[in-house]
Amino acid sequence: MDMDCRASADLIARSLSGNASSQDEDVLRGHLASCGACADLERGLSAAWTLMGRFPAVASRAEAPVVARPFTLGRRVWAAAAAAAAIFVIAAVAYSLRTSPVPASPQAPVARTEPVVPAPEERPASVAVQEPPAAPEKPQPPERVSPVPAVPETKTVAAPEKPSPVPATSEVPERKEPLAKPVRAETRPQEKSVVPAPVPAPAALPVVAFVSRVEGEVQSLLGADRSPVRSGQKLAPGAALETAKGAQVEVLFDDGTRVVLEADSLADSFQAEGGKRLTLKRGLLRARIAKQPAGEPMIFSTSTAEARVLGTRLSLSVTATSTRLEVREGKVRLTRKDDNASVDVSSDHFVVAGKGQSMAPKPIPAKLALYETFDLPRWGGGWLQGGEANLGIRLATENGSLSIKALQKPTQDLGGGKMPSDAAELARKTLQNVNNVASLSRKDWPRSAWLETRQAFAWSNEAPIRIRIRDWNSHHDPDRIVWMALNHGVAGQGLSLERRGDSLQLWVEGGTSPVWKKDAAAPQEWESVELWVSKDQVVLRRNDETLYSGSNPLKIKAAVLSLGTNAKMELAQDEEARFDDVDVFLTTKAELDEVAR
Amino acid sequence: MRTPSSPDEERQKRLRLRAGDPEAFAEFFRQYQPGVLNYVYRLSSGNSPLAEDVSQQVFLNFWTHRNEYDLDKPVTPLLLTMARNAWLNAAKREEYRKTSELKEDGASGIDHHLDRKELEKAIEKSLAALEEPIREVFILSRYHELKYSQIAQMLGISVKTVEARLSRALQDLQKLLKDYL
Repeated sequence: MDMDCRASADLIARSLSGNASSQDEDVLRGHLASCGACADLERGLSAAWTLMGRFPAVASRAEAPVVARPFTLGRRVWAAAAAAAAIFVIAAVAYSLRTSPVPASPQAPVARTEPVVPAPEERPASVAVQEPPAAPEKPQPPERVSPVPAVPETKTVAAPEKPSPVPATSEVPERKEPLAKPVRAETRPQEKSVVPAPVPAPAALPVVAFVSRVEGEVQSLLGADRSPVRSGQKLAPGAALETAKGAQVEVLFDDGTRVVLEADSLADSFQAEGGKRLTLKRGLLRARIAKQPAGEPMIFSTSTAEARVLGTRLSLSVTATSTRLEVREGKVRLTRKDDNASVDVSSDHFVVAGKGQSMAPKPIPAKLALYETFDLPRWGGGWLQGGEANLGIRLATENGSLSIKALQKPTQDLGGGKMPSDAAELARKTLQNVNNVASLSRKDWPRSAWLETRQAFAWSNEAPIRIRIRDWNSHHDPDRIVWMALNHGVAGQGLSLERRGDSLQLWVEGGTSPVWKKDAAAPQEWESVELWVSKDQVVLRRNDETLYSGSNPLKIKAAVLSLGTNAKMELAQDEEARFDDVDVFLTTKAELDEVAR
Repeated sequence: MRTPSSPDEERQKRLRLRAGDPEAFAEFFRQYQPGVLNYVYRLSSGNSPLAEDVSQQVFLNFWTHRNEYDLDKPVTPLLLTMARNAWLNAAKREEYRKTSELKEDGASGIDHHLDRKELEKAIEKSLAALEEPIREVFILSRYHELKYSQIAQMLGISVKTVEARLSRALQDLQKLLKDYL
């Protein structure tokens, strides 16, 4: 066990970088326990290691280099066309013939002369079989191809990098057709836009958007065709997406506009030409819309209303008889289809368009103290996947300061329904440095962990507050606890609301059993959970329904709000815990009394 | 709930990539490009145009030579080696040599706090202040989690040297960052 102090630095480096054997670790720990100087060194080096983990990562503006023309869309378009008009079929077949090496048509038109990477041919035989014998020989005008294979998640439109074309190589694999020439020139990334293809080229349908994230069962409906959606898939005009219960899909347009279709929802008629549009048939979507070109608002339709958007964050939900629109940023015009009544909804307002209902926008209840959206990625992200970005979570805050924490809880398992006893200690530590973001390397990643954000705000007993979390967890997992808390970890002086598997529970921190508990099916749709707290009262609401109202067991004057998730299992890399929106409102006694009833 | 892709799926993806599937390539690009980009970015002390160029080059090269790689070997060290070579070449031939000023703002941020910006600057500066051979080792270990042996192989140095450099790097960084620790 003896070790020379001179070896300490090397051994510490080995340990920090994950290169130490367990024997190394033992030797090091043993030595550190008995040598103050080396223990100091260890603290210093380890702090440097951690701090360096915050080296900000750069996001790329680059796109994937164009390597070959994608076939997938062509096929899908073909499938759709087959179900539609015959003339369309012919055109589409003409397209697919021209884009595949067909030995029988020797002069395939070459659209451009720039060097391109040959498309390695992999067109399946089944597609060829479907082509009718009457292969049209007529020349067609050059047409646009659908865009590059895929778009990275970063911004794509501005100043694309010019991919240096790679000279054609002779080692393209699996070419079964030695005669086949690459017949298609690639479009350059600059052209990757939603500009309509020149007529007449039904096959050259632009890609509207692509699917950037899929959770659970999501189906794409194109004509009569139903197929599972995978991440990275492109959406053709007219595409429709349907999410099953518990599923979710995110669609990314090439200007960065994101639309998230929530569980058990159906959206169709995706379009991008002359303004993005889609129709929400059922369920709920949320969107963050990039600034749209003047005169081309993004249009969301439902059966009852239509919302026109030039750039905003919003959520839209639809029932059989009404549409609710909530605007977070910017301005949105909502038009009721019944009577063409329309109204401009500005930020932090909502409106419900239903038959005979008032269309006056109402403020999303006032005096917002804090509003947060937890942007992608949530759990995971860079720092679990190789230390690229230590921030697994990005926060955008609108006012005041907010910090995000990734905290390690090394020793204690969270079983037994108790709040962690060392949480107070952690809370103290983390509050000392509001901006501290702990970074964990893979080897540090604990079996159970929590992730939290906290906002300290002065809170007078005289001003009741209301904390609302929406869509706070997409998982239905008994081993996972998701919580929001005031004064988390301060025994007897903290209050927490937890979802444990199928039940919602209200705890006083440090208690051994919950104050209140109720079974509540796992959130599968837009769920909001609210905690109202005043000097005397605590009210718990879920989806605008009061579940519990009781006296406030705490005597607190100021609070720290935290959100977190604990999981007893090994966390998978891209697990997510979600607290999509968090709002804290200052409210009034009258309002509180109203909901407490 | 999504599950991380299994080795099998990884292999499938590689096979698709090898077969020349552009979708697989795009996916591959999305998965690994940030790593490569940031590697060069750090290596070049914050030269983002160079990092963009080099990472683009790396992926094109990879595509061209996609049949020549061992499917079962981890791909990160390979990509980083390619990036390093491309960087050395670019740095040789270009005026890129002169260290670019560090970028003004964190790329990720809209509303960073002032003290946070300052801290990030300090971090960037300290990394840039390390001697190149030392910095290189630190970057590979800290940000790409490569093992000593992998780093040694990549750089053509011994494991002992790797360890010595990493340890040096940490000690230097501790001094450079002393105001922040």
